[in-house]
Amino acid sequence: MLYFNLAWRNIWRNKRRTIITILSIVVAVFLASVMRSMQEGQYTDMIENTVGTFSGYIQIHADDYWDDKTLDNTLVATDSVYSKIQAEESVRAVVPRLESFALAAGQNQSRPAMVMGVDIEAERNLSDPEKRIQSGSYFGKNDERSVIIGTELMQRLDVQLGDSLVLIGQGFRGMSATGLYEVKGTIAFPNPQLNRNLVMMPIETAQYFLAAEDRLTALSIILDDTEQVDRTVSNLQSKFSDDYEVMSWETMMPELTQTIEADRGSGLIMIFILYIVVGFGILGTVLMMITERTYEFGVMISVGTPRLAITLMLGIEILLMALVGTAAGIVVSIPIAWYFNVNPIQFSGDIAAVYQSYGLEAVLQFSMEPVVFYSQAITVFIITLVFSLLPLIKASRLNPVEAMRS
Amino acid sequence: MRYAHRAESNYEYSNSTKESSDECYAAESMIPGVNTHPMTQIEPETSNLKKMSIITTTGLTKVYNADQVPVHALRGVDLTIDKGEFTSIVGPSGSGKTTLLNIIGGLDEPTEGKALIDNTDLTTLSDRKLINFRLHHIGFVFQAYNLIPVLTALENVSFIMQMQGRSSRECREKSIDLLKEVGLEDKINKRPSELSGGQQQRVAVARALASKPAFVLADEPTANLDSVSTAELLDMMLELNEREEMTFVFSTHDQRVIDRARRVVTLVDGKIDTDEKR
Ligand SMILES: Nc1ncnc2c1ncn2[C@@H]1O[C@H](COP(=O)(O)OP(=O)(O)OP(=O)(O)O)[C@@H](O)[C@H]1O
Ligand SMILES: [Mg+2]
Repeated sequence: MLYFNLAWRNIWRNKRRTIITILSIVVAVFLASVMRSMQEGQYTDMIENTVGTFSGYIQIHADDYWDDKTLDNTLVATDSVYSKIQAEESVRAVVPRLESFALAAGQNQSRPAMVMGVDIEAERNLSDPEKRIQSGSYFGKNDERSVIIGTELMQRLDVQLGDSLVLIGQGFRGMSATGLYEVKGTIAFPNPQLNRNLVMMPIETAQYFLAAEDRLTALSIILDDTEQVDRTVSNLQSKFSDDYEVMSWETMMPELTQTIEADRGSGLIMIFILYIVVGFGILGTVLMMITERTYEFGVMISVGTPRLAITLMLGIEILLMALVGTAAGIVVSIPIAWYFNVNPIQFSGDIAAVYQSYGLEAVLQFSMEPVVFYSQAITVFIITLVFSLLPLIKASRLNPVEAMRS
Repeated sequence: MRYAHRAESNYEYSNSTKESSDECYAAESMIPGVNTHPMTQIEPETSNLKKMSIITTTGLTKVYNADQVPVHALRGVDLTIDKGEFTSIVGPSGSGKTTLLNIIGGLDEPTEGKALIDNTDLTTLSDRKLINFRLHHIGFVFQAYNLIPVLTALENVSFIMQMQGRSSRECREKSIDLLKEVGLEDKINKRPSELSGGQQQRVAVARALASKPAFVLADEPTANLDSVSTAELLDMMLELNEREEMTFVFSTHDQRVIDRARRVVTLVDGKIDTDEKR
């Protein structure tokens, strides 16, 4: 209590320095957590863009499909398969797909195309194509001869809405596949590759075209809670291990995880530099605070104040400032991150182009994950204490005679 | 659990006034490094008290090796000071007064020789024990800036007793008494910055007495004071010396101070030149 009282009064003694010290801690927590919030938000966007709106967090395929993506490795999803999946608590929707490649030919041009058969209704849960329609309209009831194609593919094939499109490919078990379809609409995804290649059709049409009745390449699974991916994968694996492969997005797209990890790493380097700067700033202010009071410590030690008490008093002073600083740092970071979480930054021009080249939507939504904030607060708190340690030890080791000669 | 053994002082605390609680909230067990019990002292027979020597130095030498050239600050000082003496250490600048007082006060070590202070050979004590020894046995008054700036006069005085682990009520009452004794009863809640230099030095004397020390050491206590304050401080010290038999050892350059000392030890070039008792 005695030393707490001393520490408390010393904090108020030089208000300016106390405020500067606290402010430097606040700024550090603020910069670090806003930066992390931005990064993590970006990663969530990346995952959301590719996984959440295209592949799904989990997919079930016939065994070996992921390594050898041919129609021969397709599955037939019976009602019992669906009900087994839906029995999982966190599963919100199951979206069937049949995908293959074909040559798409218009009147004058032909291009390689990715044929994607979708369940008109279920697909709304995943890529939600109707929202992405650029011209024409989405599939209705009587559209078994219609296709919707990527915007760029349409230009490349030089076709118009209502024109016919010929697809030539190879079907299930090597059957030849040909079909004539009407271009009903165009669609655009953030991923430019899809825009160049995609030919979307109702799943029954695709199954008929590819002579793969009832067959699917994948069942994409949509979860209520993306934190449940790993658990759901292992549950499903135990249910389907004999016939199907159950894969999480992380195993399907290791390059995405790697990209995120690499970026996180480079972000860490920047934050690390920030930490060092803050650390030396703290070291400076604490050193100054101790140098200014050297004579006083000399008197205190002379008259019999234990060295440990000097350490304790200064420790409390630093601890209090660090606590206030980190808490205030969180308090000022949250509104900023929250603002950009609710109003994501929309990029245009060059930056947008860069985003799109990675298949991402050109928006930046900040993360509000609590861990982003408290982990930075804790780190800066520890840095403050660590960098204060040396001056603190120095103060407690003062020789009273020398301290008082200054 | 830590508080269990001080239930008694807690009780006192809750009975004391609110002011005293924040002024003098001393928890003996909460002060790190402080030995609650004063160092065991060899108590002399009461009959010997008059002639008992509190400070005995034999062959004290001090050599500083600051800038390659060794400086001989003390060259063999044999000095004995008895209880109740009022001794002034004088001498030209650089003669070794501060060095001698620092060694006597356990703030510095001699290069050679011995300092037996209050029956304890200081050279045998570890740093921690030495700090504790100073707390319990020696009162210090320095030339200036003696006080902790964030504490009031009362708190500065009671700080010493709190570190000694005395009860909060005792700290407060004793501090007020001491401040009365030095004539500052109306300034007890003033911070050092609100006090004049002379008043600050008087608080410093009160603080020096607070630990019930064996003697008070003062290195040029009046150097920063005007002549009126100097006279006042000296009156006060003399009165304490006469009334309480408090031993004072102080250095000075001021002839008016020297004139009033009972014993004047003159240092020249690190040696005792004259030792005059009046
Ligand atoms: N830490 C030190 N390092 C080197 N030399 C020192 C140190 N402290 C004191 N001295 C030297 O020792 C000698 C005695 O110094 P001391 O301070 O004891 O003298 P003093 O009598 O108190 O002088 P003053 O009247 O000026 O206060 C001086 O020559 C001084 O320069
Ligand atoms: Mg001196």
